[in-house]
Amino acid sequence: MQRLGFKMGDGIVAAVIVTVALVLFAVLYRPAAVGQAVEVTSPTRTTVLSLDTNGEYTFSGKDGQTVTLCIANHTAYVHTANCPDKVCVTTGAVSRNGEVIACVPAGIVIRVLGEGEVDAVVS
Amino acid sequence: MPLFPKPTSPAGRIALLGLWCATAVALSFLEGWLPALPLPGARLGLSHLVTLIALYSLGLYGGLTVIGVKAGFALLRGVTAGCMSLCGGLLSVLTMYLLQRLCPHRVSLLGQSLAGAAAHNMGQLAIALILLDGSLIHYAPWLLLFSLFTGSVTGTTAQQTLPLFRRLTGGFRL
Repeated sequence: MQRLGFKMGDGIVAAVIVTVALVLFAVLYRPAAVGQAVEVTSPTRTTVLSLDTNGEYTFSGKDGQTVTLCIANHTAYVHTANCPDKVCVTTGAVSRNGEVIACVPAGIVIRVLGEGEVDAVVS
Repeated sequence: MPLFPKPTSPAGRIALLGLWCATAVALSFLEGWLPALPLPGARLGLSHLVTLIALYSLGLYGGLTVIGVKAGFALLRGVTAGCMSLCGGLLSVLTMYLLQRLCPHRVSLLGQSLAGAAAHNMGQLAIALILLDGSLIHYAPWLLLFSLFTGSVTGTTAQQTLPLFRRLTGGFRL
């Protein structure tokens, strides 16, 4: 009956599986790097704002919609929007590469840019 | 005393092999009736324990035959399913066999089953990555953690049923 019951090796096998799983979690689910700037695309123009400078900016989109973007503590969030659904406001703050806030009724998209993507920061 | 005495006659070996293949196919069929598990695509792998018992009672070729027959039946559900079953099964049997040969006294059926379940999941995932979508790699750590659960279930079930099977087949005098 040498194979029945719990053996030391079983624990080692389980520990190896857990370790590999944790390493894979760390590698595959590593959060994106902190972004450098946000790119605001409205129907009329595209603006790039540095995340290093705090400030409040209002953009006008289509159908008379306006979106107010706040940059504070290296994060960007939509403070107020006069659209009915307020999806962009409830999205909350973004700060990591590739994160997006979209305000569909106004046709405004706010995207976080990484180090290599920032060409000219307009502030 | 071996955990499962090997049959001495060729007829006994063939009979036992047929019994294991049939049990494995029946178990994977019955498993389809169980409620779905939280992870999409993941299964308990009850037939896994038959592979384990076949490995003990008939050696490597027993285990390989069982997974071959299982893959043949999986092929009925599609080429992808067949390839996944074959690749997962092969990796699983080879892992369990190596563990059995290399550290016979330090690892019980439970540890063997854990390693086999993890290897099975990774083999299936490898085929899914090739045939379906590369982004499925994000599934790997979840599948590994899940194999701890399925491996424990099949491992403890094997520990409980192996003596019963031994008594049953001992009565046949293979």
